Amino acid sequence: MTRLRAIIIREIITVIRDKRALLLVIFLPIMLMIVYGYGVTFDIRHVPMGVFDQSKSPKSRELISKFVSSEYFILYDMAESYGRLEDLLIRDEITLGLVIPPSFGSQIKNQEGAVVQVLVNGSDANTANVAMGYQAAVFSDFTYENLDLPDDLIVPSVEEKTRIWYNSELKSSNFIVPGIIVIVMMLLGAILTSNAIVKEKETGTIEQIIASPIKSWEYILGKITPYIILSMFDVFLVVAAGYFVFQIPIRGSLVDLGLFSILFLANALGIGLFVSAVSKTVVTSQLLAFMISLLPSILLSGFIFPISSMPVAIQAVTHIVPARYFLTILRGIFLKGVGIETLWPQALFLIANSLFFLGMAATKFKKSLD
Amino acid sequence: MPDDRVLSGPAVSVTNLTKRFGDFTAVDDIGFDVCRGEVFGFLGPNGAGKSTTIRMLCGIIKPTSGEGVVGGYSIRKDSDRIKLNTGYMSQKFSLYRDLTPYENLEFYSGVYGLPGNRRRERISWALDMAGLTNRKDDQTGDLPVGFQQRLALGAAVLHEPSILFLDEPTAGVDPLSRRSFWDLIHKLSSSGVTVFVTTHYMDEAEHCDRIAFIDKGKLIKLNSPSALKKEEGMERVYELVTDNWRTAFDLLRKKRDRFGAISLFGTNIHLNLQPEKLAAVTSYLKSEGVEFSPINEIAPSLEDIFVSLLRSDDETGDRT
Repeated sequence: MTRLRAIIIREIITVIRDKRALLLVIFLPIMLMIVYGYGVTFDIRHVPMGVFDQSKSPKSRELISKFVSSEYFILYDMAESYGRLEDLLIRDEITLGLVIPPSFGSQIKNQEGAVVQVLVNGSDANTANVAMGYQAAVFSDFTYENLDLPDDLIVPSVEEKTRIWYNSELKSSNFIVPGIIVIVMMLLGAILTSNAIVKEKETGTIEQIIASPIKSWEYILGKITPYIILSMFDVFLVVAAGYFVFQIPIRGSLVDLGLFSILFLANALGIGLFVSAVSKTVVTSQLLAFMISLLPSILLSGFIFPISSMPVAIQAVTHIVPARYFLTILRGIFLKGVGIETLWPQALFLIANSLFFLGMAATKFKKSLD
Repeated sequence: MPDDRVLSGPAVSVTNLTKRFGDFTAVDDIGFDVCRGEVFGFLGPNGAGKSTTIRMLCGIIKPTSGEGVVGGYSIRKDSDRIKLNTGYMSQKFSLYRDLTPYENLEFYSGVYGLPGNRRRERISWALDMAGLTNRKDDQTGDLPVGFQQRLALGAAVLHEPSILFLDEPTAGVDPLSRRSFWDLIHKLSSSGVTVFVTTHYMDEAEHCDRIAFIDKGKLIKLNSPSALKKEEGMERVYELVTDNWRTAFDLLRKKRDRFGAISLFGTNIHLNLQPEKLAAVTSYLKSEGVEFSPINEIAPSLEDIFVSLLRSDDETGDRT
């Protein structure tokens, strides 16, 4: 116990005297939150469209203005030819091309119905999909207003009444900000400890440590404790930013949030320590910590790509991505207001993973001088 | 609490100890005993395997094969017990530079689990020994090297180990600080601590009770400094004094294979020769027109012995 205490105290002194570490702890999370919070959005607005209007009639202009006034589309170009439209699509300048036939105006006027060609740029499948949904809505709106539909079209049917729970306005920030918090804390945690062991290797102080009766688990535990305290402060910072700047709701308990955060941080810091134990220089260690923490947290956590639609082998890999569990936890606490009674499986996985990462760090540390 | 095992038998006992790093054999089948309470010097050129040996004995790295027993405990199985009874000072300064001397000592007294009273007592003892009582709150990294070394020694003996390993403790330290450092070593040794020290300063080797010469991972010679100087079958050392020392040195160096090793001490030339070759050297130099005072046999310094040992090792060893 005196050994553990000595290590913790020493590490705290080092952190306090290292001005750069303190700057990192305070400014990096705020900066990352702002950059990612504003930068990442799944809402698609202002889809650029081109129109080849051969009708040039009041009705065709009405259709076009329906598109533009929806704020989902902006009119990028009024094309003079079909070829021009094609050209814009090839150069990725527009996502949607509208080809209105010459007879459009008279057909609508005569209640005949009309055919309009819609060209969609499928090279960005996600945006294309969303744009298709939007244009369908615009067309049905236009049809409803301009064509008298025969009464017998209205037949009895099963009507759906959808209610969206937990995020009733489908605000994507409610969905994204928890993900950003996970990524920021993962990155920060791993970077914080990525120096911890390798720096002792570079300065040579590790020799004296290994020649002393310190056990590797004492060393690892002693190293991680000050950083847990430090990064809990950062959790507070980023959650406050999420609440005040991005207006995400916090419906669950803050105590639960704190406890889960400690579990998650043990993972992030453990990964940093492991990387630090295997690296030979501070630079390698930081780069490695950066990559190992950032990429899996974005790609394999379910933040962007749903885990259920990944191949089975990749799904298996996501079990050692701590971000996956913390993301579920944060969305649960923020949006659904649930706590440990629902999220205990995630907690168990986080505990198991943290033991795994810290154990690996301890093992590697033991062998680091051989 | 003194440990029985520490109080009986040799302090360190090494048999067939070997350490390989990949293809490179750093320590090659060495064996020796270190008696309790002696100052045991470990000598050899850079890369000879001194540090590797000391690090194996401290339990920092595991041997490839062979065995070492330190204070009665095996370095293979009981390195944790060894660490409690030994002190170690590494070649590179390995205390925390961003901590003050006091904080460093506080840290290591915690690491070795010293209880409150003894902790205060030992820390003030160590600060006093290192001459840092008045600078205990300075930043350790800002201290002169000599002070840093003594602080490191203080930290290494804070828990009063019975065996102390020092790996080139005086490298890069000025002569005066080196002298005072050795005074500390003798003080520790006279209080019963076994001191195992590596160095490549020959004058320091004279301070040791016994010396082991090691080269290319092999133990070449082990004896007390005075016995080494008297040893039978050794080459004698002759001193050549001449105004044309530069010419003479170049001439003799060309004929090194015929005569033997030569080395410069200031402007004096030391020749390691078998006695019967002396006449040949004299006539050779005369034939080249070098004037010189009569050549005298001198008592070999350890450095002479070292040079001659390394040369004979080169001749017998398989050089490729």
